[in-house]
Amino acid sequence: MLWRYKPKADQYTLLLLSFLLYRRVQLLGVDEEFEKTKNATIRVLKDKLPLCKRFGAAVHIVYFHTIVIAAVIIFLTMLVYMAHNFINVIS
Amino acid sequence: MWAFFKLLSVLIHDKNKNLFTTKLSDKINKPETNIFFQLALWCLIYLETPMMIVLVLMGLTIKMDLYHVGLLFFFVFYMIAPRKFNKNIKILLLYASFFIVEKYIYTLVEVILQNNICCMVDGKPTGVLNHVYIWMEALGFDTRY
Repeated sequence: MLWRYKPKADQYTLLLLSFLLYRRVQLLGVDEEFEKTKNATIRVLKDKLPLCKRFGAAVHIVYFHTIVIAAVIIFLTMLVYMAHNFINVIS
Repeated sequence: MWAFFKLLSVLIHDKNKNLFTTKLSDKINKPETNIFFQLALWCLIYLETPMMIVLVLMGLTIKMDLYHVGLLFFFVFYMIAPRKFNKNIKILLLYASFFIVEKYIYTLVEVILQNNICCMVDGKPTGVLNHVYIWMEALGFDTRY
């Protein structure tokens, strides 16, 4: 009865992720050693999985196009919203 | 899944930093290493992205208190200086674990106060205790959200 509080799932997720990041920083560091391990992992994965290269390139293209399209949509929405408010103000 | 658990067990149990890193770099360069282990390591390398998404989504909940605002501050610190943030990641770990333990303790204290009839009227705090409850809510120490 006393232990009725159940921490939310996001609290445990944050704890797990921060622990993993903490251990990664402890083991691989943040500067040169980490960059070395990162490059080695990516190189080996590209050698092992040739499809990775194409897939990675496709993901990058889709990702950056999505960002640009979203930015344009947000900008146009902002303009429409401002115009709408401006009409309300002057009328 | 197996590779993830293997990586997690290695992360938890291996305390010798230099030995592990040398082993790890040897392991990566060998072609006979399990591909799933390498993929799990690759996920670990790019861990910051889900971490920051979790921080922002947690920080933007409906409940606005110091705990959730603090998470947004952590996100801002990461955006300003990612390497410094990674070097001081222990602070975030302590922050996350402290609030889980603290909310358990808060529940125990709340149960004790609810059993004390002088403090509560119809299950609601009165007098000074009401102000304490409000402050606890503002600081993010309470459990109602």
